[in-house]
Amino acid sequence: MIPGTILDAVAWGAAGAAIASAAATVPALRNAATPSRLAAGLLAASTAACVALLLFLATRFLAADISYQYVFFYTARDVEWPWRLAGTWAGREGSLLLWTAWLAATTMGVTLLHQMRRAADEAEDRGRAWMRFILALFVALFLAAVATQSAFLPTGENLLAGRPDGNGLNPTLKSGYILIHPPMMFAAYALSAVPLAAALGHLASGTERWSRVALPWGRLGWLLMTFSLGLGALWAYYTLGFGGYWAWDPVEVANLLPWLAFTIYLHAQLHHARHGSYRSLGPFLAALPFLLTLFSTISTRSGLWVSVHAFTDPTDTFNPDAAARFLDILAVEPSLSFHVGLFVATFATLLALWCRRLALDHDRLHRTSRIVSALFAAFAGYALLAPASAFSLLLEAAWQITGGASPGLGLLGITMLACLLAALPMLVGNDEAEQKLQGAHPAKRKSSRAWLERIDVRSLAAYSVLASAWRY
Amino acid sequence: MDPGVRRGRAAFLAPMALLLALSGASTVAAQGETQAVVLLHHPYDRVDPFGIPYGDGDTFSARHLAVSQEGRFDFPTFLADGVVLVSSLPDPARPYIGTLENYTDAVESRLRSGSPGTLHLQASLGDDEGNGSGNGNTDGNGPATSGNQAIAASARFEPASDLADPQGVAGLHILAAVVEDFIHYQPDARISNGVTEHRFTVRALADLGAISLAQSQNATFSFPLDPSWDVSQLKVAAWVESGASFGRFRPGEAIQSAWTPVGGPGVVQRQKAVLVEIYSATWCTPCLYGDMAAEALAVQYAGAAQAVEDEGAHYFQPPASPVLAVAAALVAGAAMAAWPGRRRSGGSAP
Repeated sequence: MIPGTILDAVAWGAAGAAIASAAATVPALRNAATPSRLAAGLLAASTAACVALLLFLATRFLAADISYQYVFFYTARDVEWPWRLAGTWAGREGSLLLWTAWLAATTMGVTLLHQMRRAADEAEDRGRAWMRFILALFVALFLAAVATQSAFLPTGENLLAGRPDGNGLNPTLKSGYILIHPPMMFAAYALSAVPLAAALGHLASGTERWSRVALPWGRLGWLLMTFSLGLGALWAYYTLGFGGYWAWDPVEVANLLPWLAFTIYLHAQLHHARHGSYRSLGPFLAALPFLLTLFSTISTRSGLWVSVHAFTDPTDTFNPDAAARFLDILAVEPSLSFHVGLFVATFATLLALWCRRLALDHDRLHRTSRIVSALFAAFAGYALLAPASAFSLLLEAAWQITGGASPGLGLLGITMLACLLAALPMLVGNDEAEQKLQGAHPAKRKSSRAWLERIDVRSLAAYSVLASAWRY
Repeated sequence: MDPGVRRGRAAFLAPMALLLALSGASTVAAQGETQAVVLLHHPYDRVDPFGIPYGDGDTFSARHLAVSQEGRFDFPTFLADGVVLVSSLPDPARPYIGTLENYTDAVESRLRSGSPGTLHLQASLGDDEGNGSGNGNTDGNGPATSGNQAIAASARFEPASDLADPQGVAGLHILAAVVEDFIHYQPDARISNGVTEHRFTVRALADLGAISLAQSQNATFSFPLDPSWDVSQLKVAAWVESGASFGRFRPGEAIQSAWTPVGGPGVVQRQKAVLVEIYSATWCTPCLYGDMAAEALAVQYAGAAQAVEDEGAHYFQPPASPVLAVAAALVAGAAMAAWPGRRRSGGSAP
């Protein structure tokens, strides 16, 4: 048995290599160069270490090595080998490792593609460099989370004495679908980070062509997510007896949201390419799929809501107040804390950069937007280091705003206010800069269908989200 | 005032005062009366730390296996008076409300069966001077010796006038259990249903043996006090159980029950009290709702205290490392504020 500390050290080392890779990409952000060998090599080392950890965990499951606590919880010696393998991603730690491995592999794929194919111009090269830089940072964060939550702790003696052959896998999970559905979904989750990275890069640097470099990866992610949702529906119908293909289960709806966001993003990008629309909103829409995958993971794994997907035990003290219950969960679940921290920090960073970019592009509210951006960035930094505290601060504000009536509604209000605040430079007035931006696409003005199509997409987005939220 | 009148008043008031005092004393006992006694049993599987061995199993499954529909019990299982069974969560779509409604209906239906007699129960803490095994006896002797502390209790059942069993065919037994409230325990998240304050947990259980309806007897017993138990949260529960089908009673039916805090004034249970037993496990997810429903029942029918929530603290939680978190916020905010802007570059094509 390899001690967990050594395996955690490997994860920390991989995280360090990913950060070093990001650092090695920094010169390319200015010079618009192709990936340096050093950056690519460090990223390759990080990816290899992550995949090795995943494979090691899978072999421990196949060998039913219940001396590791995580293996103990999700398999047993009398379980057949396919379900032993499936145990690898049946719990929080394993699924995070799988997600991280897909993310690292995606980042590596992006880097290799950038090395092989030359960019159309300098702007595209800069957009690519920003994308690699941000993706490497994400890989580092995910690996740090893997190391922190430690999937390789030894099993306690009391557990082994009580169940000497292991805890076993939930019987409803013993289906062929578990071998395909979760890995495919996590691959889609990983791919959703690419449009986000490209959009953040665009917002930070002002470089164009960001959409072009991210679109193919976004399409692949959408395709995998579509297949995965379909497989999940089949699984529900044939095996789990959830009551049909679709049960409007909280977790099902939570997984539908990123798919809708993906669809909206792809649709918007198509319109942007044809008519120049969604210049300002596009980066925001590109970030939503990844943010909503984080939300979906939090929903699936927290046990906050009673769900047919609650294959992992809820960890909360049962508190009728859902907000307090969620904070209780965060207190005992470091991996969930990571997801919440990443969600809040990414969203706050997105708003900070978006606000700043809108002010620059629209020539408005420069000083105000600088202050607003700084506040959002400060909150992002706080959320990254103290996720539970940052979220509790939001809940407290929501509680105060609604007078204790509904923290959930207050949270929704705060989110909308934050978005409006960030979008102020775009919303205030109409000036020459705006006309210049729109004038770059004369086709948009000439097309009689453009206005109708814009309305169509926005209505689709709004109604879909509202309908899902209502069913939720 | 005429002294004769005074004496007359005194002669009238003194017995009245005595009567009031006596009625007051009986009121103290009546205050302990409840409509239900709630017990939470845990499986003895060594993963759940609250399970204790009893017979060939644990305190619940060993006694009630005949009631189960499939030869085993789901988690959670609810049993009112040993005869009304609610398996698992009756309405998974409304896990808490649905469960509570079913449990409440069961308790209400049992309450309508009426009281079969009076159960007297007292419990105190003293030196364990005897066998300390938790076994009871019905011979009226006190607890025997060993020098450690023990919970000593006595129970006596007085049958109602319509309850007669001169042949002893009912095989009535008195059983007693030590129950601890508000045990704080939080296992690893993956084997936790999230309940951290465990209520009405059965710590010890003993069958005190058969009793005769013809002759009211005291059953006394002692349970050795485990040092890990919180004495202030301990209660002793006792109930009378029918061994065979007898009159309106079914085999295994708890006909009367009562509980009282250890060291309290004791209870004289005249009205019907339903024995509510719930089979729960710390690792069982649906048991979260069973435990919650049990607490609600205990508050409504058994005079239990509601878990107190801190009204002062809303949601905000300070970070574990405030300096680091605030420093990160300041650095990120300052960096964003100082970052020079740059307009779009590279044309407008996507």
